[in-house]
Amino acid sequence: MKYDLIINKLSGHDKTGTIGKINVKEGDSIKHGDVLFIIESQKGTLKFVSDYDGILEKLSIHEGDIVEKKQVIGIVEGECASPESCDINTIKETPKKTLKTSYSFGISKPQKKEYEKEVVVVGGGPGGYVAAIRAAQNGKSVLLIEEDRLGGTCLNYGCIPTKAIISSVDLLRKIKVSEEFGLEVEGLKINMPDIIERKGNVVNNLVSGVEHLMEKNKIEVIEGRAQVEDKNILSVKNKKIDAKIKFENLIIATGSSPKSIPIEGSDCGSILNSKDLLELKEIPQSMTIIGGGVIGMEFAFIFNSLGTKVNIIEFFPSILNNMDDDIIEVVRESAIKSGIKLYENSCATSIKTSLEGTKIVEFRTEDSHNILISDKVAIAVGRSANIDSLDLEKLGVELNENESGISVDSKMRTSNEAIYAIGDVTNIMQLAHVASHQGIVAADNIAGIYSEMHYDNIPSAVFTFPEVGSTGLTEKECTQRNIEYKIGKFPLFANGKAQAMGETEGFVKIIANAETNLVIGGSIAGIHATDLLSVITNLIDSKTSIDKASHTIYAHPTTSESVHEAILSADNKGIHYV
Amino acid sequence: MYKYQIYISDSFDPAYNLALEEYFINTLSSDTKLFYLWQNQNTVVIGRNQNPYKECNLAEMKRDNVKLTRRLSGGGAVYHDLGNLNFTFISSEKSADIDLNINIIINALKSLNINSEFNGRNDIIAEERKFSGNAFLIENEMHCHHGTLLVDVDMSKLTKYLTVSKLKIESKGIDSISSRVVNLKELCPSLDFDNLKNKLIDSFSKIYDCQVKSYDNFIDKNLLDNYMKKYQSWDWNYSESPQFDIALEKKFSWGIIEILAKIENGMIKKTKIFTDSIILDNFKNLESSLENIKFNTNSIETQIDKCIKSKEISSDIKTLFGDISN
Repeated sequence: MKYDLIINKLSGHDKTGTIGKINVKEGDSIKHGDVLFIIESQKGTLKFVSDYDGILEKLSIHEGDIVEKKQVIGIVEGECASPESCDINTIKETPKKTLKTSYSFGISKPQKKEYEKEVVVVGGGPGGYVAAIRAAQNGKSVLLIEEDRLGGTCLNYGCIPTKAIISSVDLLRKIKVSEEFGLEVEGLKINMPDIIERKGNVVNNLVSGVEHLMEKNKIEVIEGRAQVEDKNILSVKNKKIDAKIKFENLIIATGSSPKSIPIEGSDCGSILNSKDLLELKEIPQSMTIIGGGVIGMEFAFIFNSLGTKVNIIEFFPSILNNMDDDIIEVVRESAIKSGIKLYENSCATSIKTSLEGTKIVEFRTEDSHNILISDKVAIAVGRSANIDSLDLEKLGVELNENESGISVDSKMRTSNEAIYAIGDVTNIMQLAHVASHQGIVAADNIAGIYSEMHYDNIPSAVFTFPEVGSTGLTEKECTQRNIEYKIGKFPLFANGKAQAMGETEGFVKIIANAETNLVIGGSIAGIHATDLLSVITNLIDSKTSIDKASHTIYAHPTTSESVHEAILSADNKGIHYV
Repeated sequence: MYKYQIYISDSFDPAYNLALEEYFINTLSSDTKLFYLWQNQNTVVIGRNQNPYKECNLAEMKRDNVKLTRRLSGGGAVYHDLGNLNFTFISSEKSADIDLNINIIINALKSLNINSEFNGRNDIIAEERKFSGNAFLIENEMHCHHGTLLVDVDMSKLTKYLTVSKLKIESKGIDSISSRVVNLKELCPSLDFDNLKNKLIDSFSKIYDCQVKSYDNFIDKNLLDNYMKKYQSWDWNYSESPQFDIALEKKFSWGIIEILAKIENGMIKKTKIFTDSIILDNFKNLESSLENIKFNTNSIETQIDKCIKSKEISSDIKTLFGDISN
């Protein structure tokens, strides 16, 4: 939709004003709330703030120009985020035609284009872009459609930005204990906008890395939202092109979005989700997070470290419910010690806002009814597959039994043989590395290379303080599946390197099949946990027995020695711990 | 019920005082009316949309260690020293009343036997001469009205720093308007600052019935620090200027050099160098090296050192820039 940009307001009763600093130029993409320029008039200076999300197609003012109230000063192509002003400023259908011709010198009409590709990927996240690269490696002509930014949720709003912020927070935590290391630090200040800016830089760097990969692999990337035209035709329209894309094979990788919960107040605009939390430029005094899973706990530790009073409300009996109890205990203990308040086995029932803007969350446990008051409330109760992103019916693609994701077989094929689905939209395991691997499996199968997806050795990493991770089977799963198992466990406080680093929380645990003696799982809590995990993942994948694994030499002094010690202790042959 | 508050800053640091003002604008609740008094030591404060290269003599300011700060409100450049007292009224946009604010100032002065009036050009004047300039801004539905009071300002300095070098600058944005000014001390020789402050506070509390308040415990230091960083930053003070062109020309022993540059967001976007220098040196290289760098002394001198081999020419070109960049 096109909108006129109009000077609707000047200070006081002023009728004209002078344009000061202009922050944007034609062609820029603008967001609701952006300050486009400053207007100075006799009775004051004010910011001209955008009501729209979109592209600034035309801007007819210059710094120093004098403007009048009600003057039209530009055109935006996009969406209006502030309904009051939008009705007034919409360029109505009828005059639109004349407008188009009269402004044609500045705005080119989207160019009609037709494509025929062997593989089309919808969604440029860690599933989609990896699938596209592998398909290109397999000699296919590939086109990828992304409506936001390459890298998807993981790179832009998930794994990577949180890790960038956690790196700042990690440093902060180290500085706070610097005296134990013989260092005195004075004048420590937290500059949240700079932390967020650094995060943005990390993300932008990686996004441009993915762009570069697309280019090098000769993958055509079209920005925009894909529409289904027919069983084998998609269309995408953006400012520049109006494309029709015919495909032989389609890979759907449209990801997922933060879930909410159906309780009173949860749809209120000021409730934060994981994406919002990554953009908070001010550190809240207090925050209640509904959901103590991976996302909730990572943010809990981030904001706790920054000085926010954090409450976690978890519906399940414990935070990080899928992990083994000993791992959960390490995180729980650390959380409590850091001052994070955990309310497990608790069901949030409503979120209310007080007159001052503070939030009141009501929740109940088995035997009590409670309230928590905080400045902010965040909901982190998981993500739901974006199954509505494409007209699946038209594509002949079916959903799984409980309609929570696209149904696929082990080759990632949907009910339509030419169409594959990968990543969060399949709702099998919502992890970036699972999506990537599913992408490889899909692309290989399209090229006639046999490949299947297995889910019994998927590592998972949680970046709490300390970080924890798990791969293969957990003890909980062994019990469920009636597998007899034995464990070998080694606490990090017995590891020399961990001691030297002052990071002695946690342990390494190896799980082996009691009958076959093969390594079938492992969990680690503590420093380097998520990096050490891959050692165990490899042992499981290559079907290594405890006996064989124990012969490998691990470098001294490293934390990886704890993996070795855990392996040894599975047979009660540990050296450094009894 | 509205809450009325008075706060007096005991800092003379413009970055602190302006940061605190912005902090108040962004954190006060809409039912608060705040009267805030503050003073800056040796500072030129420019308007939101002004170009410091054009409005002030940066070379003189650098020599005398005078700070430059951009404020949030529009209008022209002013010189502050401890002979100047600043006042700020902050309230919601809805409840803002500029005339009443001005009356608070005029009434306070009246009790000191100074008769003054508001001239409609945002100045408060006495005997046809201006002693107070006022400016306004609106941000997130909060209104800020602030102004200066010349009490005992060193007028020679005011002229010195606000007189621009002979440099040719073509700039958009807002120009300063010079006025005939007067110090209140000249109108009332017995006037002292404490007395004036007390009268202003009396005048505000006569209408709003409140006391001076100590905010210190309530101020979020982290947040305030962020604002302070802004007012201390080159980015805000210099590069927020509207775009402008400069032309430098001078005859040296080795020839005439003319440098033209387009500056946008504090960066040199385009440079042209003309010279009839008899010494051959790498002027072409300098021309391209002076593009896409920050318009400040450090960056410019680094490029000059890199490109120009002759010591003499290099130092001459530096002096040419030295007059304007900071």
